[in-house]
Amino acid sequence: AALPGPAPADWAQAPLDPAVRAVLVGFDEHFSYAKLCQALRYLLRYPDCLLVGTNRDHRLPLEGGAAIPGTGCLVKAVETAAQREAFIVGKPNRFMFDCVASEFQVDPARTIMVGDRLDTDILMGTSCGLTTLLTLTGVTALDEVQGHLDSDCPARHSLVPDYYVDSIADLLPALGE
Amino acid sequence: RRAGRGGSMASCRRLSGAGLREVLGPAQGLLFDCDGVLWAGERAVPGAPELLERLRRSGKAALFVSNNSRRSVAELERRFSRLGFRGVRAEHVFSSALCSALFLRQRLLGSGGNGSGAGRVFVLGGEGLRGEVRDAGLRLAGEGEPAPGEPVRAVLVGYDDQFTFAKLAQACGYLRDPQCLLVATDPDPWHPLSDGQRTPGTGSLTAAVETASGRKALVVGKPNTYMFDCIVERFGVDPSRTLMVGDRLETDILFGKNCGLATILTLTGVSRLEEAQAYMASESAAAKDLVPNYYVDSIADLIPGLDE
Repeated sequence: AALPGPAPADWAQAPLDPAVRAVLVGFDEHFSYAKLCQALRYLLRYPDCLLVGTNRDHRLPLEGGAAIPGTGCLVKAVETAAQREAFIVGKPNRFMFDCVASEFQVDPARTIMVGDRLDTDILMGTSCGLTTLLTLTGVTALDEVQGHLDSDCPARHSLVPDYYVDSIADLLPALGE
Repeated sequence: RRAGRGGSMASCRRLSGAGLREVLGPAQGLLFDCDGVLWAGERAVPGAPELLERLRRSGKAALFVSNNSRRSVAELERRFSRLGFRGVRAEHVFSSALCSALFLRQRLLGSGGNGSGAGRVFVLGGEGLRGEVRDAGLRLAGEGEPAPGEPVRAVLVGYDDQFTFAKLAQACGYLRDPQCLLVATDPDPWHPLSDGQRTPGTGSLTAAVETASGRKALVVGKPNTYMFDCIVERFGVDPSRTLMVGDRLETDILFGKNCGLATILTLTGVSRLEEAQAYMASESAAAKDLVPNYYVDSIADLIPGLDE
C-alpha cells in the first residue's frame, strides 16, 4: 500500500493488517527505513507476533572480493529496533535438516554435509551429527579453520569440518566409473 | 560540597523538598537531554520553559546534549524558540549531528587542516546531518557513482528515514578500505512517537552496516563521552558541579555516570521508574551504572529548588 506522506510520523498512521501474525525477514534488495518502520509496528502492536529470519548470512560474495550485504544485516536491523531476537530458520539452525530428514530417509551417520561456510554449513552439519566437508571455493580460507582448531573455546571447535577439499570436483576420483 | 553526587552506587532517590535545594544549590549548571525532557513531539513539557528561565535568573548554566541526529543546531535553536523556550542559542546545543561532524573534522582534517586531501564523507542521514558535516568543512560523497578524486574516508550513519539496501551496499563498498572510518551518530535503537508507537533509531541502521562490513562503529553520541568533551572544550564545565538530566537510562544516565556527573532521571520520556529500580536490584555491575542518583516526575519539579 502507498505510504500516507513522506515522513515516519505519517507512516506510523498507515492502517495495520490485523491478521498479521508474523514478520518474516528475508533477502530484500528493496529494504528501506519505511519497511523497517512497518515491521516494528507489527511487532509492537501484536504481542504474539512472531519475528522470523530466513538466515543470518552477513554477506553474499561476488567476484573479485566484493560482496553485497546479506539477510543477516536486515535481520539485525529489525532485532535492534524491536529489541528482541529473531528465530532463524536457516543454517546453522537444524530446522532445515529436519525438513530434509522428514521427507527423505536420511541417516545422519551416513550423510555428508558439503559447504563453504563454517558458521552456517559446517556448524549445522556438526549439530545434526553429519560428517562435514568444507570446500575452499567459497568464503572460507583454510587459515580460518586453523584458528578455530587451535582455539581453547569448545564452541569454536564445532566450526571445524571433518574434511576439506579445494573444490567439490576433487570428489570425482572417489566415485567409481 | 559536591552537587549531590553520592557514593559509588546511585540510589534513585526522588528529588523534592529540602533535597531539591541541597542538590541544585551547589550546581553551577545543568545538561539537559531534549526529547522526552524538554518536549515531547511538538509540545513543550509543561513548566519546562519556566524552569530554564528560573535557571537563567539563578545564574546557573543550561546546556543541551541530544542524540537526535536529524536536525542542525540552527534548526534546534528555532525549535526551542517555537516551543516557548527563551534565550537558547545554537552554541548552547550539542546534538549528535554537530558532534559527529566535529569528530570527523578532527579525525579527517586534524588541527589546522584546510579540507583538501582530507577525503569525503558518505552520510546516511537527512539534510540536517549533512549540513552539519558540510559546515565542519568536510565534503560529502554523492549518492551513485563516486566521482574521481578524493576517496571516501568515512561512512557516517545517522538517523536516515530514506535508508535503503542500495545505500547499505554502497556504504559497505567504501568500508572495504580499512582506512575508511565507520562512525555512528548515536546508538538509540528506537524513538517514541507522540501516539506511543516507536520509530527505528540510528542504532538499528548501524547494526545493519556493522553486520555487512564486519566493522564496529565509533559511536559519537551518549552514553559515550565525546559530546561531553565538546561541551568542556567550548564552555569549560566542571563535572563535579554539573547535573545531567535525561529520560533514557541507557543513554542519558549512563552518559552522566561516564562523565562523572550526578544524574537526574525525568519520567516524561522513555524510561519508567520500574526499569531504574530493576537495574538497582540487579546483580550486574553494568546495571548499577544505569541507576540515576535522583528522579523527578517532570523537570518542572526542579523549580522549587531554585532561589525565588
